[in-house]
Amino acid sequence: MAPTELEEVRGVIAARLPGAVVGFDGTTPEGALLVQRERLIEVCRLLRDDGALQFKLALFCTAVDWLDREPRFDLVYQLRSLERGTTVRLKVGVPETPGEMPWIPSTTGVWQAMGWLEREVYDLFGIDFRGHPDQRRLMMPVDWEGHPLRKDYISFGEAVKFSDRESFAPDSAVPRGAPD
Amino acid sequence: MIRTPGTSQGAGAEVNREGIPVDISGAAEPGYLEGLTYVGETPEGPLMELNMGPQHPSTHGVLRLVLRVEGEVVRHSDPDVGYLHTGFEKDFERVTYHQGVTWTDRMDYLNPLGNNLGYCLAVEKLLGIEIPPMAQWTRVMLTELTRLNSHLVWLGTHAIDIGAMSVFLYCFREREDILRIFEMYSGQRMMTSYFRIGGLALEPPPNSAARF
Repeated sequence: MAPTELEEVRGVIAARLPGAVVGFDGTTPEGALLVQRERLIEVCRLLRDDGALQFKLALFCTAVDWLDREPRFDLVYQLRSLERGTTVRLKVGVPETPGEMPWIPSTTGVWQAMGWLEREVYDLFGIDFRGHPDQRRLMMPVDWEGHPLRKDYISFGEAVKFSDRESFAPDSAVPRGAPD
Repeated sequence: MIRTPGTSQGAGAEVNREGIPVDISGAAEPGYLEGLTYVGETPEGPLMELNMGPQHPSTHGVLRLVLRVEGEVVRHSDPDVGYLHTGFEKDFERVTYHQGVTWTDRMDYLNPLGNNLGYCLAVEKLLGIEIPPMAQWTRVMLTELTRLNSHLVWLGTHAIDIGAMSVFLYCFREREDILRIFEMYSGQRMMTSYFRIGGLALEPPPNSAARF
């Protein structure tokens, strides 16, 4: 059962944008609204602009990699309404796209503050934020390969080059933390 | 060469003491020297690209700004923020929840117990456990002290940045008292790892309230 606050927000969205919210995620006490990827921007604009909602403050945007689940990624948006004094969480499922990066529309047009947060997710999870004005890596070096927070990205065990030797290989060829 | 990059030619500087470029032909070579580079002309004068940090004293290793300056006016700034990105989230994937506590200290070395608390509360929420009242009180008290400790360092270093040395010394004197309290509780001054999932690492020392 969703908290009443979230039910109320969901009711407003359902009245204005039928079908955009596809469900409710009750795995945490706060809950989250599951939003269709294609209609994310509409929902965000409504949340920001509706007089009764006014979710003008974008708190964060992050991603979860479920690896074996379909859709593989969850994009999570946390928004705050200073008028209502409440927080709402949106979750958007993002499937893998053959031949290209998994994608989601960028919310930078709704909240400018999402710009860097989306860059971080792009950098670490490899999600393409379509329409982002400046999609570059934020944390990792510009020439880094791969997206470290993906569950199939193995950290440790990579050869490290030192300037005083030809190369340095770690003792074990099997990386620690490798999935079975 | 000791003071200029190995790729530098001549004496190293292509600007004179007034900051006016002497010879910018070398700067046309990509990646030649990430210093002051001529990038274009504005109606008011030449636009120069200046690399500030990460070794700049005021960014102390954690921030690089690629600035476009027109004289002394900054027209554009492109921050490069990844220098303190240590990959903790990735590290957490290969340890148990319990082992993760020691990493949380190091996420912000001025607020170790605050990070212990945030992490432990999250895991306790997942597990649905409530910790004993004494542990709760001890956590609150020590986290508040951590906050004082963190703010004292902020104030002290901020004062140093504007040239007030004595404020810094006073702040660090007070901070030292707080660190002694942490040491009394956990045996460690900074990386305490004192909060654990489900409570505390150790029983508070005997007579701690009085010594506090």
